[in-house]
Amino acid sequence: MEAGVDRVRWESAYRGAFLQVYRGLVAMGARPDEAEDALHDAFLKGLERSTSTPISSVGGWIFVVASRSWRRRRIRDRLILPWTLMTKEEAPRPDEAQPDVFVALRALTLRQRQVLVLRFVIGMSQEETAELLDIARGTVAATTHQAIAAMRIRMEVAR
Amino acid sequence: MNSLSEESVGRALLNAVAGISAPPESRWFPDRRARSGARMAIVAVAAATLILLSGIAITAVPRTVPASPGDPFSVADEAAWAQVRLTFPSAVILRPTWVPDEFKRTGSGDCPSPTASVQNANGTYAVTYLGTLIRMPPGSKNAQACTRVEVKTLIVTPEDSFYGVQLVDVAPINARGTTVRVRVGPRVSDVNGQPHQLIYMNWLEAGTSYELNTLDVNLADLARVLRSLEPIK
Repeated sequence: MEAGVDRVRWESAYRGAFLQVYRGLVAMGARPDEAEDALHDAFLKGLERSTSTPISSVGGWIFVVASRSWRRRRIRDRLILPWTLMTKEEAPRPDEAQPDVFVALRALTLRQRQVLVLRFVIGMSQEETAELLDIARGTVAATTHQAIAAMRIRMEVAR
Repeated sequence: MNSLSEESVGRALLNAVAGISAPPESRWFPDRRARSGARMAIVAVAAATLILLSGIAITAVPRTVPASPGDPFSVADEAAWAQVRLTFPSAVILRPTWVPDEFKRTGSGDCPSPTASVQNANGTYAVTYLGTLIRMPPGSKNAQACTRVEVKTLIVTPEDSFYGVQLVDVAPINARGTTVRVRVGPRVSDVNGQPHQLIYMNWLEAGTSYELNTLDVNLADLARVLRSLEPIK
């Protein structure tokens, strides 16, 4: 991105990606307010980042940055909250009926969740996912395969 | 079979996320934090000036928190409160001028201190002074926690912020021109059998709800923290 028009372009790109990334974060287990804050962090990081390295996939980049931000906050919150207060599970709303697919997704590791959301919610290819997560394409394929297998088992058991 | 599995699970995931409702578009952008370059520069200069003046004030007037200007704790402490001030430029932000000695340090990797947490989405902040790491016995729901003193504002009801944990009211404290509600949590033993307890205070001041809570600080010291709170500029 070039200086001058950067902000307008970035706002437009961010606006276009917001909905899918927000849904991806909530699907992964973020509470709505956490997903909003994580997206805000990603927006600001996008504004601050160097213009010399263009973003090939805005939605994917925002998702990866936001999911890392969310995770950092979760780790911090877990650590400093006295255990007497930690009476709820990580899932967003305890009274909210969650589709089986979300329950299964949230049982996966963070990396597995990131790969699946990037692939199926954000719509990234294996190559793009590998680049965004800085891992090999083969790792993306293997992670996808393992995650899908685990989800299928969980979803079938749930039924 | 694998590609069919992927396809079906992927489709199920996509269908499920379509049912997640998004916040209104007015909340998509961090308007309180995002600023134009020029405005950000002005704010940065103002913040630097504020920090410099704070350092001069600290040199001139002895204060317990921060310990002394320039030391790592003071730098981290100033940075934490500056972050809150920058995020909420017009809010009345209360900062302790005294905390117990064991919290006047930058903490460890496990318990970094002080830590500012700004929740832009609901307009609340917390600054937490963390102490030592406590490990819980095997089988406990949470493996570990840090002792702490935390100052925060709330827009939700205080009970909500504690996820409904059973707190017991003890005698309230008259301070800050109002009555401060005081509650204590259950005593819990760590892996070494040492007991730990939460104390929780909340009050309304000039229409804003504030909270002060601690893990492992006694009531007298927490009351001293409460009385030491001063609005920051």
